[in-house]
Amino acid sequence: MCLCYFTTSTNVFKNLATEEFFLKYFEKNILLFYCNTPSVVVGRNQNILKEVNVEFCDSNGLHIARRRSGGGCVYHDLGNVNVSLITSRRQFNKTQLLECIKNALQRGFHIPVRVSERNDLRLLDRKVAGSAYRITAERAYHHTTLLVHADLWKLEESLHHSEKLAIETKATQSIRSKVLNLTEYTGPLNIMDICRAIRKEWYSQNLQVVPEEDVKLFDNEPTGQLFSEIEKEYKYLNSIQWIWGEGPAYNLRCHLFFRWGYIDMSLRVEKGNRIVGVEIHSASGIPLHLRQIITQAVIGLSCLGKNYGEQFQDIATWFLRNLPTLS
Amino acid sequence: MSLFWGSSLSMLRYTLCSKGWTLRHSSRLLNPCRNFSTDVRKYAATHEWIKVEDDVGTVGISKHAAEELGEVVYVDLPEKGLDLEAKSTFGAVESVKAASDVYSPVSGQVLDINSKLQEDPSLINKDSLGEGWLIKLKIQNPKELDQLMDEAAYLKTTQEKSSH
Repeated sequence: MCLCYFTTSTNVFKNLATEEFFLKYFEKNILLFYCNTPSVVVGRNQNILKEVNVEFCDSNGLHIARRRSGGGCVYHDLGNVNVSLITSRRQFNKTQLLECIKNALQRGFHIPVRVSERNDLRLLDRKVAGSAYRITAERAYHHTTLLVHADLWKLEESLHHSEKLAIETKATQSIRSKVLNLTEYTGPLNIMDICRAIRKEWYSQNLQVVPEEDVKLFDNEPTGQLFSEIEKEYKYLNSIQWIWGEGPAYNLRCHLFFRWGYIDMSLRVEKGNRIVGVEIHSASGIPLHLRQIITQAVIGLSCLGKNYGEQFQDIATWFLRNLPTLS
Repeated sequence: MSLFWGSSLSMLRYTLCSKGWTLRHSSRLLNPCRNFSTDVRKYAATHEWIKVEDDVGTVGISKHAAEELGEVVYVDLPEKGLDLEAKSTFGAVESVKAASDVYSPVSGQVLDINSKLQEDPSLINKDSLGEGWLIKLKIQNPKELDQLMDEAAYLKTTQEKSSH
């Protein structure tokens, strides 16, 4: 038995929470469609500072989200449709959904897409859809982004990480690809029509008779009235602890310039975005007591949240206030 | 004659005793439940193995699971000190685009994590039963180990699955 839904919400956190809900609490196979307002979504084990242009996202109102599946960083907006196939682990298959979307696009819209070795969908050698997977004990999903008429300028800008911060990490790295919207090939397309075609293809692969009714809507819009499991997951996915705190450990190098010289700091930031170590270098030489003061001031600082820049501003101000005693 | 028997018996008792005390840890003789070891790996249906030595279980993923995952690129492990329930997820192994949850076969407290995996996650591909272990657990309830499969039973389940 299979179910097929299109969610009513366009909030990235609500939709990811709904997907998790269908993964955890259902036994049936589910084909889920959702669209999000402009957002950047990093993979479970990625470093946001390394993948995302946080400043651009902040000033343009893009959400930054961390999903539970693996893989690289992607951009979503209402011109992009997310397709998720949630199945039992036994039935889980890495290419089934892609084949289904490929057939739907080829048969229904005459778009010659192909499946690449990295499980992307490509059109004219540009990427139109990327894949990520989440596998749990009993259930698994494969979700993919399909670029229909997304804002590729915003995509490009938001996925360029800041050059200001030097970060060393073993986190999963995104592989950059040239992208393309389906509409650039075909002219105007309706996202709902594409979903209908994918649904039809999927049903015809799995059932003998394709049900007549249209794609059903799943109402996950109202805040406070959702299933409590969705609400709980929504709050968790939308929390600073998850988005910023659950990323892998990294080293952050920063240079602080003063009139008398400079300090080169390498901060060790562990899970939870807490600074656990600091190495200080300066060609100008730093007295031992000052080295100790700096270490004490920095270790234990938690850099949770978007105001990372502000926190460093605070550290810099602290230096400026305290360093005149140096001479 | 009787003197001879007496002395040899006491000598025998002495050797048995001394062997017992040197071969085994004292606490195990006093309280056999407290210190538990398994010589072999036990497997969970979710593809993790556990091997127990003196109440400390080393947990990793099976060779079959490592092969299915493909190249591992990142391993997300818990912090030391965390209490885990049996069958609860304690982290995830990421291979090409896929994050697979890993589950604790038994209840216990995380004593240690394999920090080498941060530098070289591919240890899981190279040696998932050895160098690629994930965590060490202080076993809470040795009886939970009885619910796990031995290697032969586990291998049978993987063959059943791949024939589907």
